[in-house]
Amino acid sequence: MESGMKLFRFIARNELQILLRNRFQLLVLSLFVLIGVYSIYYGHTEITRQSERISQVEDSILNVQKAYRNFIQADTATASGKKEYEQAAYPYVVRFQYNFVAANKPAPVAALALGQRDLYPYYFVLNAQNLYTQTLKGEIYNPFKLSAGNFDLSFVMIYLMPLLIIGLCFDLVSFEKDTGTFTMLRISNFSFRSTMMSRLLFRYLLVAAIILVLSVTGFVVAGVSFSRSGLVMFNWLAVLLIYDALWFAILLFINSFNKSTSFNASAAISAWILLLIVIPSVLNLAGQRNKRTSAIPFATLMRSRSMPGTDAAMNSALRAFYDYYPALKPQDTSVKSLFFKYQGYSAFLAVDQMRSAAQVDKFYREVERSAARQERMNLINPAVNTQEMLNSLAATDLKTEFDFKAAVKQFHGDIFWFSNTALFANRAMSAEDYAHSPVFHFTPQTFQQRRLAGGILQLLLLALLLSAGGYRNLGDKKIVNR
Amino acid sequence: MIWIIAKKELLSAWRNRTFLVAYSVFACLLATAAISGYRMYRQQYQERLHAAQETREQWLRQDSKHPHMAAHFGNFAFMPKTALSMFDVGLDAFTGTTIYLEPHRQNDFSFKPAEVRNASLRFGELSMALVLQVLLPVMIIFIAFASFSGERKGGTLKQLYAQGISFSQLYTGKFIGYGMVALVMLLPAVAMLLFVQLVFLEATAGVIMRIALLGLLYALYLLLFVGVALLVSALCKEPKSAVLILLAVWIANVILIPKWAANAGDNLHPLPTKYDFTRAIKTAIAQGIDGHDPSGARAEKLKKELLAQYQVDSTSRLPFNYEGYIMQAGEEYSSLVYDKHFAQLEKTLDRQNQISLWCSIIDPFLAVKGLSMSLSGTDYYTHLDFQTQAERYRRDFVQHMNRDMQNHSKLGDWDYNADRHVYEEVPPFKYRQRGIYESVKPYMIGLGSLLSWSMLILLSVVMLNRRAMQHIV
Repeated sequence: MESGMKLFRFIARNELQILLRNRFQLLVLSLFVLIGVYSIYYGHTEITRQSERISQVEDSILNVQKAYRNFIQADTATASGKKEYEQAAYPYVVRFQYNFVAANKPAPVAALALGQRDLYPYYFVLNAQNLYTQTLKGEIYNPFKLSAGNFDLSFVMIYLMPLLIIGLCFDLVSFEKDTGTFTMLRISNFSFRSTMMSRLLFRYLLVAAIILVLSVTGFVVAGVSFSRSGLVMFNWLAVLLIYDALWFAILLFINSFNKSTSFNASAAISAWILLLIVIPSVLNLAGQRNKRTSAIPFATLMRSRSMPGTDAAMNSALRAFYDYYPALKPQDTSVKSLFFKYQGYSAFLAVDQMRSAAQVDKFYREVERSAARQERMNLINPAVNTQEMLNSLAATDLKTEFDFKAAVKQFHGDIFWFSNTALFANRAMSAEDYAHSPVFHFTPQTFQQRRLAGGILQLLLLALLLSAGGYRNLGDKKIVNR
Repeated sequence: MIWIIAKKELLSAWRNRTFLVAYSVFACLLATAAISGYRMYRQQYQERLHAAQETREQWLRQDSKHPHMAAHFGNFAFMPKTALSMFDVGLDAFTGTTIYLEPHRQNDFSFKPAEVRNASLRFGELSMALVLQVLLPVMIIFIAFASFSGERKGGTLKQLYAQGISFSQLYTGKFIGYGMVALVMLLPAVAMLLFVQLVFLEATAGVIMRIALLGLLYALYLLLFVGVALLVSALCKEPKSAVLILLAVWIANVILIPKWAANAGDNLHPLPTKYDFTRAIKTAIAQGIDGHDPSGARAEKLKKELLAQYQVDSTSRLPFNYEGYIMQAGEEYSSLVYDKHFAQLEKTLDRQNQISLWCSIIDPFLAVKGLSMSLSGTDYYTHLDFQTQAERYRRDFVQHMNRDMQNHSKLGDWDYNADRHVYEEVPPFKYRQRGIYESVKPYMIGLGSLLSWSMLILLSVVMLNRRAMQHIV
């Protein structure tokens, strides 16, 4: 143990000296850190912009809501006061005019892994109309940018960090052969394997230090508080350090075959292409083929909802509605209520909403199942596995989007009843109603313990397998035979 | 001599077992991409065709109702899958597939396939284009990086020069050899694409022409990589340095520059939110584009002009339904507002994309990517063209319904109902694909870049004669 430590201290001193003298490696390290800093800046500006936009929309909607609260108490003795009062008091007007906002505010770490956030609308302005006529119509996007993905810290860590590791370790063993020190190392006091492992450990710690510095810089810039998000920060670092270890294991495995420097460089880049391009893109084919996850059949849900304005149509809609809400059914249905036609349309909307929601929910469940099926392949897909874990910690993954959609659906129910409670009670809206105006709350789940544990375990398993293979091959006898 | 060198390089590639294994993997990936691309195309083509037929039927089968209410029922435009999307999926996963067309507003694309996929989609979709654009250049690097530096290390380069061969002759020989290897790897892809299009998809002359251009484009791109790989190999003393430089160039071209360019565009020219965009349009419609022409005043002016023109004292005495007329006038005015705002939006999107287009000067991968997507009909500008045609259709069909109201009902008569006959007069939406020149026009910078790089390499080889190369022999 002591001799091991002694060897490591010796190697570390030596490695540090070589590193400081090697201008090329210093340049590569500096470039990596610079790119990392740029990615933090990029993520931060994107998330700040999103947050500002959400605040602007919220402020705008809240101002209108505030005006309605004043309107309901307006002096009806004046013409303008009466007009204002009617605007706020008639529930059939309020239901489609009084808007609410439901926003998916970014989680603290979102700036470091923007994930799927750029794909979906992160806020909705809603009223009591059908939910899907309001939420399915597209947002403004640049598809070219969407396809390129985000230049955030997670991209730097998942795509570029392995390249840095390759740059540092591709000639771990072959360097000794190129410089003619291979035989010298073999006859030294320490075993060749221990020397190589100590060297790898030093380089691992170097990359780990860079990960730590960049991540902490990212946390500070994004304003992540340790007291509130300590667990998320810890897991973020854990995921990256294990992913980092996996790449060192890959390099150890490649180097252990004691091939030429050019071969090692080619093999390491091939491994990078395999893990970051080939495997994910081939596995994506499976996801594409699932017909049941195509949203096109929902096109008609975007259509404006209209119904015939006849009494018969209204009565039919109300009958269907009262089946769901018997408590609202008036004792004498033969007498037309004050808001009969408006109630008829609201009843039609409510029933239609339930039917559409059942269809959409079924679809979302299928999408979740399809995503879960794809996750089963994560053992051989470590880059995607790592990206998924980082996205889940940043609450920018598909699951968070579905949670947000579910929360929006629930909120839409509250919005519906905000005006329709008064409508079905045949009364005007009151100041009390406005005082209890529904407010959207959504806190994304940033720590999905089981999922995270599963993902980390898969990375670890792969890293251990490769390290064991590489360690075995580096044995003194084996390395000479090769 | 040149041919002997070319033959030697071909022979060594043939004898290289690692290359043959890599080529087999490459061929398998290409075949997988072709089969799945074809299946995806069929599936999505059918799906969109079915959706278009279904929504058309719904439009025709809707109840008899007031023409304007019927217009509000709306129509749909589904972006058709192009036959060549089986080769290059381009931006298909990230552009919407559907536009809902309704009166008073111009909607955006909905239902991006990427919305229902997890983060893995950002790692790319396997397609024939991806294999040729990303993986084939790496294979070229792996087989060509040691062509000069390996001979130098092995001492055979000196022997070759001793026989009186010039650097340019040696380079040409090696270029022909490796170029043939690259083209042999490209050939199955083009042949496979042509076969599927001719046998299974009844390809038109236009599609065959596009395939021919794709073949030429990729040939130029791969030969460019061969040229660069040989040049770097010639200039590096060690094979190790050559492979590192070439891989760094590849990574910068394929990963770093494209991602940075797209993100920088977004960062420098941010898009408005839909909320702000819609609000600005609403305000402009209500107050006039310049803020001095409120809708009420506009309607009043129009009314006065109509009354004077028809010499009547009330709108009810007009020979047509004034409400229908005013509704169409409103629609036309809102179209003006939409045109102005959408032109601004397109300008912003164009500015974002321009960064990538200009970056294609230094990045041949970006140049090929843009040209390949445009020839396959899966690029941004094709989608923009689809959106423009869909908007034109929206205006025509809304106008048709408003004119029906104007000509067949009286003022205040909201009981007039249009029937199936009126609905049938609205033709279904059909997208007309742009011509080849129109498609590739935005990417001419890329084409220029590919040609300039080729010329630059040629020039370098001519300038780097044996004497100039002697110091690294």
